[in-house]
Amino acid sequence: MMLSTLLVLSTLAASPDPSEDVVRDVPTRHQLSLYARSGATVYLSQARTHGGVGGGFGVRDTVDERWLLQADANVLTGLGTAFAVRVGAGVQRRGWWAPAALVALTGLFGERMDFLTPEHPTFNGGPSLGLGLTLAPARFRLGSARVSLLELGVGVGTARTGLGLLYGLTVLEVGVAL
Amino acid sequence: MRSWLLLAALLPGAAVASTQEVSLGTTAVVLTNGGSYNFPAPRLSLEATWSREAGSWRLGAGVRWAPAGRGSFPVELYARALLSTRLGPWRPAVGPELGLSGLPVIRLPTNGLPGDLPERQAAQLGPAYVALHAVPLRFAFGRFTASTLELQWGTSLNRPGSTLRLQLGLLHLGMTL
Amino acid sequence: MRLLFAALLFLAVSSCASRPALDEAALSRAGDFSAGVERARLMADVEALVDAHLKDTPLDCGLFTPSEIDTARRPVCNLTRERARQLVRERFESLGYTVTTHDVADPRFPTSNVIAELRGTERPDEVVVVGAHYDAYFAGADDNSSGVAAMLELARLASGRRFARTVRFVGFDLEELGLVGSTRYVQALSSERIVASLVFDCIGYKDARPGAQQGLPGFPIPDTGDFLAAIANEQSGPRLEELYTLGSRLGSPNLVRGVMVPEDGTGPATGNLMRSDHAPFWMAGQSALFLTDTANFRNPNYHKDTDDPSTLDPDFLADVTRVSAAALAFWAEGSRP
Repeated sequence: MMLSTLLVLSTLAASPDPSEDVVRDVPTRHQLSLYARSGATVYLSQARTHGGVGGGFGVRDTVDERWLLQADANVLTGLGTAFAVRVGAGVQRRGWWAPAALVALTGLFGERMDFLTPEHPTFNGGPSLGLGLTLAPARFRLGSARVSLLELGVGVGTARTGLGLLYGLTVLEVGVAL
Repeated sequence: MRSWLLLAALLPGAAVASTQEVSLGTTAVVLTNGGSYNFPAPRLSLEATWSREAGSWRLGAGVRWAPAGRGSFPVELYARALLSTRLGPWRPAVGPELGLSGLPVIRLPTNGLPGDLPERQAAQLGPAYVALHAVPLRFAFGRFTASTLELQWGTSLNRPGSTLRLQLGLLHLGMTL
Repeated sequence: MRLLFAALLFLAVSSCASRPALDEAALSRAGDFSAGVERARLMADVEALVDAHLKDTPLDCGLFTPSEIDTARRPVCNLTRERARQLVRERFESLGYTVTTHDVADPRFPTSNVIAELRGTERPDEVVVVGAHYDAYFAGADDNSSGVAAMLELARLASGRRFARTVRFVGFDLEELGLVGSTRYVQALSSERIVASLVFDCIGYKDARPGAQQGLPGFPIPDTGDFLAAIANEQSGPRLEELYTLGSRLGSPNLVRGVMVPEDGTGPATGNLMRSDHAPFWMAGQSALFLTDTANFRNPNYHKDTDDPSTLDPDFLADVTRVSAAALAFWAEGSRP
């Protein structure tokens, strides 16, 4: 059995499929990647409701296969048309299973629903800003491939639009090394 | 146990390196403008898709036919550009889709109620839509692919935000060419 | 770092609130005009309209396929309008208005919107509209005798007065079957500029008990049903701010809660708010505010035979009418004797 195992593994090693991703143990200080995501973002406060479902594209710098710096832009629908820009920094586990935690600043622009209440008697312009934590437990990497499923984020919004809560959900994120 | 490990080691990844694929599948779509004159139940459709891989992109086009989709021409045509990647047999992808839909969003009354308002609403909507399409569970086994729970959300292109399109891909089976 | 600071500063400044500037003289005129609202008259009109509905003959049930209609939500075989229309017309005429009707012939659902107008003295092509649908299910006290009574009260206050802009009162027909009268009315509008519109639909029910008010996801409203919901789209947003400020400045600071929805109001999250005669105005790009006590989200008598005058709150109805009167006077720039 040991001999047959070695034979199979040597066959794989001898004729690598060039279209296959093979884990390479060549560390790179900075690994840039492009990613696309599908998700939802909503900001809820007493003064406004902002967000929707949609997705977008982003770029990420993975430093020493550990630290993450990323930014993405998204288009959301469901409550008019809104735009979300996220800038985040975080950490991931090294290895094929790479769960991550990120601190992200999110800005929501565009159409939204505004409310007039005794505490907020006039409409406030400007974006909805939120700072929060995103957890990505089902995140995987293999070579240049990056995939993340069901990321959840929660944050708090600025006081200028009323104290608010920001919720984010990423259904699927797919990334490729640049 | 070891024999299963050996078998797993031989599975694709060792897929045939073909860049084109055709697939057939079923989807369910809900279209709404939030009003009273919508079709509440999801409309089932059959879908045929052609796609090809270009580097990290999976470009595709296809047609959907909803036999009970209402409207005089319940067919959709679409094109996609998905960013895709591979982790062994797992081939997830996500990206935008543009399409033309013959499925009506507004349901004109058939119960005797007057149709003035829904007719006005329907006249404001166009057939073009834009959506974000996610393929989280697509797998390749040799020349064959299988995908389920493809999730799509989008809106009409001529009045973005006025309608919501929600689509769930139930099952897609494909074959690389 | 400087760039980041500058960006944050820009965002902070750009999000500063700007209060609508209300001319004190205009505010004073609006307050004087609204002070004329009489609670007893409002309730007398509600009673008269309810009486008209109860004595009227409902629409022919054979026009519909009741098995395909949710008759709990839309009791179409109990819809009346003829006597209420007659009452509205006679009331306008008794106040000295020249009454016109906007009639649309239809083999199954002909409609007749009843219109009374006060031509503006300085800018007659700029119009302020006050509207309420006069058709109703069963007695229709809250939905919508309350709204029609408010419109009639505003017409009473405005009669014989002068406004810079044209003031137009419109009793809409067949709102309950899908905003039929108002859709046809807006389609027939000329190129005149509608500066502001107030649409009343269910404005007489109040229940201040905790839990009396139901909500919708994404709408931060209290669970006490003691406020008037004023709903605008983006185009009508400035009018909503003015209405809100008028209410606050003229003695009803906690009465109004405003909602401004994006674009023309259509959309999956906000489409449910397109449920009254303001919707055709929004769809046509015209300004309109929808004033409501939120109907079935608060009133358990909505579309039921228990929707009678005894369930209404006369003080609440009077407060709503006063704020509306102030808004009318402010936008129409009057009144003057």
